[in-house]
Amino acid sequence: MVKYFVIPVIILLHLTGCAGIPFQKAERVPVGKIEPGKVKEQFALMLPEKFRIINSMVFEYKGEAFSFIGYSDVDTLEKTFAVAGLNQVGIKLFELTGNNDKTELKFAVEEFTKRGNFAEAVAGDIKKIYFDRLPGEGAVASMEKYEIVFARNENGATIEHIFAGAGNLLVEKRYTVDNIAVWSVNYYEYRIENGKLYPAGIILENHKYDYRLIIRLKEIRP
Amino acid sequence: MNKSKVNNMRIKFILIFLLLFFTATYGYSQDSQIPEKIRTDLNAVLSRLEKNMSGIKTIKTAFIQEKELAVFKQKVVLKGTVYIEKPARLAWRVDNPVKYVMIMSADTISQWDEDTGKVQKISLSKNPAFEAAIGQMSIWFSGSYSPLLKDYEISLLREKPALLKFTPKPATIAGNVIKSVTVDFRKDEQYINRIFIEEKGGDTTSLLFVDTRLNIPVEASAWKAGPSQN
Repeated sequence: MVKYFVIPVIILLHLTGCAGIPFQKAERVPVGKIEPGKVKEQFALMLPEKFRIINSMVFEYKGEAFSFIGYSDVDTLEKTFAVAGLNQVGIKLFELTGNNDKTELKFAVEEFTKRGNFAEAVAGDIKKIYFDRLPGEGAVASMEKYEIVFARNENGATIEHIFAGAGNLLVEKRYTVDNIAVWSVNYYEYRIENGKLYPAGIILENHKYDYRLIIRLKEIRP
Repeated sequence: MNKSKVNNMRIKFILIFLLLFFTATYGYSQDSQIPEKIRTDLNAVLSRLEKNMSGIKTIKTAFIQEKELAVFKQKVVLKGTVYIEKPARLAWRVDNPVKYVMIMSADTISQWDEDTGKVQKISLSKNPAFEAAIGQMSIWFSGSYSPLLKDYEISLLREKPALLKFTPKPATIAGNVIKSVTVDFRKDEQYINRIFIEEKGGDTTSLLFVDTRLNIPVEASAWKAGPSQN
């Protein structure tokens, strides 16, 4: 009898990568009769266009975790960014700048550049997390009991923006191809600073390459 | 990235830390081109520092580390506490903006950080490069600089309290990364007030030691790689 219970649990844990969520999920509140366009509009007004933040970051891959401090300078309108990673004793691990089309690696310790295109991988994650947090033109909205989902097809893929919780804030952005998740970004515990919204917790899951990035907001710089 | 690669990466990062903060400030040049008077002054200052620091057995000091990244023109500030117990025990505890602990003892380095909640231990016996760096570090904290004749030019910027500038010679490990290291001693010259590192890429690091206490009993919890007990 026990195995009928244990086996599905093991399978479930395996599928979810045994990954816990160290943040509080948005409260499940009925969406009500709000206009989807209004949700998008209100959220846009609260998003900071430019920001400089310090985060702590944990990169999880195949049961290993590697933590560091991230400094990000992002302009979501111009779509430019500069990011640096430092270890906890202040040694710079990497530094890069870029925009939506181009990335320039200014510095990286040798370990990061040995395999694959490190700069493009980091830049890709920055863009997934901080750019395009509003549904694009032509996204179709569907109202569910606890969330509003905006979906848009783009070159054979679907990008969805999910708004939920009190205030109907962006809680998830996910990218799927043929209904298979390629990556997703979840935003948690929004806080307001200088009239703008900042998620205190972010989790990027790259299902394709099987890694997870956990980001905790530490400082918002003027 | 498998486990051993992640471990190797961690080892290298700690090694970089040791090189930046400790190796870089060990030696002084005995370059024969340095005028006799300056060399004599320098030797006298280094002998004095050695004498002043010889009576120090334990150190507990808060630190403020400001890393200025050239690309951002912004500082990342780290705050914490360092504990030192001669001959070779050091605890580096960061409290802000993240919580992190690195404990070095004679044969191991342990690390803990709040985000992963994990303690990682690295054996020094299996990492000769580490052993060498730790060995140099312990000499640095002993104040006995004379045996550490390394590949640096040294300038005496101020005689008392001593202010020394170390410039690594080309073709040295430190010379590839560091432009100069300036070490400013406290008034009583029993410990360092501030270390300022200029890197070749334009970044700078200032490490200011405040509320420094010498020769006080260090609480056992300081040597535990885990969350602060305070």
